[in-house]
Amino acid sequence: MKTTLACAVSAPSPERAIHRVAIVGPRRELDGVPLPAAPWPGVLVDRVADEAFANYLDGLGGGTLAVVLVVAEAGDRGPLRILRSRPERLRTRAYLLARAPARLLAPVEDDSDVEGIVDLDRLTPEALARAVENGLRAYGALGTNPLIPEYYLDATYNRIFDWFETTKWDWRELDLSQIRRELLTEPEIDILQESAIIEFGTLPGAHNFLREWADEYSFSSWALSWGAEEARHSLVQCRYLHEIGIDVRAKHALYKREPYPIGENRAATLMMNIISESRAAEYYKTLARLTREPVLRAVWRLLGRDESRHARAFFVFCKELVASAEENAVAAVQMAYVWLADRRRGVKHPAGFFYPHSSSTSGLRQIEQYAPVMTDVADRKVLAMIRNLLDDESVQSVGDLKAYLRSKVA
Amino acid sequence: MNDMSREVYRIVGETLRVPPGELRPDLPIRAIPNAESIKMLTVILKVEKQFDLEIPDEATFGIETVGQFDELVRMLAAERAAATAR
Repeated sequence: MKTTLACAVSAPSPERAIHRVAIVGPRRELDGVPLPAAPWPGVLVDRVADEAFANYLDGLGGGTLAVVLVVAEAGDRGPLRILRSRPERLRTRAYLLARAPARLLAPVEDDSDVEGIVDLDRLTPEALARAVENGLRAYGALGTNPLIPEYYLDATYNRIFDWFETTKWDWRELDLSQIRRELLTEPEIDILQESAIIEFGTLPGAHNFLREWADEYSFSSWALSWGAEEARHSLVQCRYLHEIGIDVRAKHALYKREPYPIGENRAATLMMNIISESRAAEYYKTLARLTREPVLRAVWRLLGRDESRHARAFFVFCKELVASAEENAVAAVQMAYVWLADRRRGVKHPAGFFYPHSSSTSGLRQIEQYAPVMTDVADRKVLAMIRNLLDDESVQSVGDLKAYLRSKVA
Repeated sequence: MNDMSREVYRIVGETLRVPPGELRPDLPIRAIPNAESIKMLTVILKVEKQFDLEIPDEATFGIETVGQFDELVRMLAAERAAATAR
């Protein structure tokens, strides 16, 4: 820990210093703020006079300022206003050291994003340490994800929630007691079993989304909704199978329980899911058209509609990332090219790709062979989404994707 | 090994993070720890740019060894040179 007085910015001499904490207030008060005996590793503490605070912030440039403690004897919030007028300092956590703190609480929290108020009359090194340590932890939790808005409801998940929620299917739409077993074919029953098993792969998918998006809450919230919907896909197909006397073994769910490696780029991960959801949507829709059994047709229609909704939601989150940085666009197109262009061993899908010890790989081949044209239909829809992502109508084929990537090679 | 092959091996080694001494013509690409599809696509794009070539999609995903890849690049370069000479 290093302490400096007044307006000087302490030199970041200790190489491991990663965070600054500033105590800001009237010059006569600064020395009286007690610091704990034990320093915080990697933290520099600066004492800055009120009138020097703006210059202090200028001097930091892009440097980290994790916590600001403002000595506000009589509720003076000048330094807070200066801090919050700098967009690059929105992440900095602020505490007030004030007399009669209860009087200040409501209005200060409203407009200055204050974490807490410490009673200046009862200030001890321990109380200050608690504020700083909580501030450092809060600062770390905010992270640096540029897509996080200032207000909770502005997050993408909350904006698409109503659309997503109101288009969910209801179990009451299905009556499994009405199944007409005599209309089912043996290949259909095989495909139904494989579809139920393939859907188990969405559980580690949801797990991985939460790991890969650990620094935010918007896509993560959606991933939970998505995972809950996907879990119903296995369940409804297993229940259907049970009605016709076939019980799916639990081992198939366990074979797909281990998490697969986290992706290197989130836009690429989303693109992989746009493709797999689009293909799944087309598979289900095609299967629904082909079956003669009315309850199974209803099940597969609902699942096809779900997968289309999922593809569109993945697209919304992918577009947000692509718009934020060109490297995300390139990563998404790389993933699209690899998944769309390579069908040597049949189409790729995470369920078969990551779990070769399960039956999903052969199951997918079986589904593709049942109606091979459906993958082409799905992939055309994916290309349409990529045109929208890149705002480029010339992208009509996988060859165009490669041409785009070639143009981006450094 | 000619200059073109040396350059191909350099790009493969750098992109897949394999020390130059460990890249042999018979080394299966799938056996290289970093050689997943996206990395291989990066190799292809860099080689295409370096030699002004276009490597067909089926080759992008079908090449088995580093030597085969080098051979394909040299063949495509020779074909392009012949076409230019005509």
